[in-house]
Amino acid sequence: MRIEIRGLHKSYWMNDAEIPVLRALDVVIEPGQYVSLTGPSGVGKSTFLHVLGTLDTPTQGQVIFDDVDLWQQPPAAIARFRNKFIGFVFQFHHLLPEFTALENVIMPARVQRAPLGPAVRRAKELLAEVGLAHRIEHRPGELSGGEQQRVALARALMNEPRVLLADEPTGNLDETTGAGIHEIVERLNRERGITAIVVTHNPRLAERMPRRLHLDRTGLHDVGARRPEHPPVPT
Amino acid sequence: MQDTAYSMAALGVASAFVIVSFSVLSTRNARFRGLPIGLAVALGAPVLAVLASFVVSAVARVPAETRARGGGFFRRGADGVVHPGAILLGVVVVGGLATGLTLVARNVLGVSGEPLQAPIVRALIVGGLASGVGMSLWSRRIAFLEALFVTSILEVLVALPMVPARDFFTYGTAPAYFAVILLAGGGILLLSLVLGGSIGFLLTGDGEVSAGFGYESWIGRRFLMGKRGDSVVGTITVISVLAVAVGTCAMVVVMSVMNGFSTDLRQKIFGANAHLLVLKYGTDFAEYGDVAAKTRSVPGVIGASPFILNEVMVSSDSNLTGALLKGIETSTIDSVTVLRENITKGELTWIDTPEKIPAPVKLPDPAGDAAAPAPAAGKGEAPRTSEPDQLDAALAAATKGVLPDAATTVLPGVIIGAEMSKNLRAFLGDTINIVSPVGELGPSGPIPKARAFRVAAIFFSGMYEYDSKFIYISLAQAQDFFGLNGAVTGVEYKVEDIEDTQRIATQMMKVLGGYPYRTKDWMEMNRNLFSALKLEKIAMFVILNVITIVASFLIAATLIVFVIEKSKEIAILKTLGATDTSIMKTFVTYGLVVGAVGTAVGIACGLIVCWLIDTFGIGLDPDVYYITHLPVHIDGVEVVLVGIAAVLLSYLATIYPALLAARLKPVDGLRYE
Repeated sequence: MRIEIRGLHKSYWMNDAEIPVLRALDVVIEPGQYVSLTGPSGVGKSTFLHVLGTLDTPTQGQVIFDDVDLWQQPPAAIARFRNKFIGFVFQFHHLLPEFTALENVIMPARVQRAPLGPAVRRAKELLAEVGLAHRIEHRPGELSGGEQQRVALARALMNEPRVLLADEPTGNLDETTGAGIHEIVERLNRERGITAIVVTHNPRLAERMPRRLHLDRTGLHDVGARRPEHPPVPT
Repeated sequence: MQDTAYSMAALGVASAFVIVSFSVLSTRNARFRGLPIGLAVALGAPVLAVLASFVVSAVARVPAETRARGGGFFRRGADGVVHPGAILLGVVVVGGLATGLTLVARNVLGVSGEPLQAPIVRALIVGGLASGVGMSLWSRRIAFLEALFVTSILEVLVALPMVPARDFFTYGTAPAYFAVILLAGGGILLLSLVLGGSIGFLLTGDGEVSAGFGYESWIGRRFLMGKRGDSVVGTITVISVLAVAVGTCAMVVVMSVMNGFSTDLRQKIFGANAHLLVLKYGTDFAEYGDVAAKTRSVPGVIGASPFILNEVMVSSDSNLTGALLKGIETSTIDSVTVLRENITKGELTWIDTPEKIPAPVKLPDPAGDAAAPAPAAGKGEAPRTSEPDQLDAALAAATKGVLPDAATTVLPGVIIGAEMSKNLRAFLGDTINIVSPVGELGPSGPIPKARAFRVAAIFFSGMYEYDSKFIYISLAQAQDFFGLNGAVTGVEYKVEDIEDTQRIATQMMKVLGGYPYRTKDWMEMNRNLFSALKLEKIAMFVILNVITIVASFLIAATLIVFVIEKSKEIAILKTLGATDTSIMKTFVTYGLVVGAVGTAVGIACGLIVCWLIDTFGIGLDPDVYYITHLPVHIDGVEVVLVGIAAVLLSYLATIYPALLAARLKPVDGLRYE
């Protein structure tokens, strides 16, 4: 899925005083690209990711997915788009504490009102894939941080999204566990051609990614695109 | 939160407008005749209200973010405030439907007066629900403000011509009653509009019809269970359920007891009275036999009996009272009233055969009353117009030796009520004098006509008014006493279905050919009583609903806390692609579950209490209440209505918090950990 950002502005308001966060950003992310996003704290990386992922409204500008200007669509259509095409992984996993790992993973399918049987089968496969086949009936409170993040990853993949947005997915995990998560994301990008955008503070991690974006007060910059180890998979 | 302040301000102005229009129109309607002033109010007030809400919203500041996105006052969806198109739709649909139905009912079906309320209320409910759905579709909101405007505009429009509105209410034309109509009608309309709007938004807010509640109710119920009792919400939820249950229980019990009293009263009234009368203008209704024969064939008529009714005065040796004297035909009276069953002493037929009336039981009376000479039964001491046939009968009776003191004349019999018997100290066999104000003309004006009667029977109907006021004599005696020359006052009827009397009355008039005959039904005869009972019950329903309203506020408060507590989960669900209406449904589920469980528990409790009252009984002082124990009559329809009202209120309570949850931006919930 090709993502195009045109003239993106995003401001917050405090008692009618405008606080600009993102200013005139333009970027094109080709289908199947694996992109890292780095930058100093408070520069708006998360906000950028949220606007990109339709979680927040742009003050100005366009977010275009495959020639569709998303913010011209009605809210429900945007929600359905998000459900179908975008998977999120956050630093704080954000699982629903009242539901078991399995229920958390099938949630996107239930939101889509998909039939339950196939959804449960797929959720079990995904949990097995992230190495949690034995913990499907546990609630998030009963899982370790790494396990929770893997459940969150499985949930993000439930509806076979075309875009995966990760906001410091390993920020709270030790290096080994974090590396495991990244391996999974890398494999998904390689094998299924998922477009992945990962916000990270870890320069070594960013180094591994084929395309690196850097956001600072002056704007969004491409910092030395590495030769891709594999060609982008056409979608 | 500025969004909320913004809408709240506009809401306040709109409500103020409704209140002002209510009070102006209802308190001043007597003087509210000038059409120009009316038009000015009707057209000017909504315009003023809109302008005022403009000003208020400017003061309340349109959120800069909304403005930056191009939001505005008249916009549709979450970024707007009021949608004029939706208001117009509501006014046209509801106004048109109500006017149309009234015109059809009045001109085609010939309904007038109070029965007109039914089609109006139906039009308000149906039109309100339908246009509520339409308004929510068009404005892409629940359209609450629009509903408020529709209601107030229609109120003003109805108030203008006033006369048709006055027709619906027969209590009177006092401004207070007019205000009641306006308030009640407006309340029903607003409720229907909001109900329709919220349902329409829940089902179509996603831009397509999605009646599914599947995963939403799954999540809602799971939220309700909480994380094993670690949340305050769990405790408040239990309290909310209890509050709804208490309200519902109280409502079921009170309505059932009121029903019991009302049913008891009805039974007594219908037992002692006929359902329908045929009367004739003039005093020459002698062809009652023909009339009865003709009208008895009308479908639905069970029995007919001629009667004479007049006011008289009754005196005994010790006391004096006014009474309603009714002449009845003993052969047919059983087909119309239950007088025979109500008789506790004596026999109904003894008014035809007075010679069978036993002599009074004389008891040694130590009180001063003993001095009063107990008149020898049957002695014609009172002035009377003597009749040769009576003399004959008396002689015949005397020869049979029925009267122990061998009177020379036999006095005619009269049936009196238990209360009157007590008041007059006249018991079975005693003699009383009946004085008719309509007497013969003497040299110094009309002389009251008086005649002595013997108490042939005593009845007890359970209605104080009847037991102390009604007395019965035979039709022939009454005709003679009042000098009617074979005429009667009218014919009374009993019908199969008392709600059907109006149709039967119309048909009878057709059979009889109209004038000089006319009909009078039970509703007309007891209108005040039954109207008061009905009003009392509606008032009780409304007042007791306050308990449920309080409970629904509790639900709303709980839900608002709940929404704040769950804002992170709401954000997560939205991240996963849940739409706004799905989030709403999740929280509406909570209210519906609380409402349904509370209602079920409450109705069960209410029914158990009713059963206990009915089985074990709560004693009442029969001298005061004329009934020995608290009567209970459970009306299934009413119980269902109570249940629906409770669930509806619980549902309405969830709308605002659910909307709050739906409007939550996902980023706001995700930002902080």
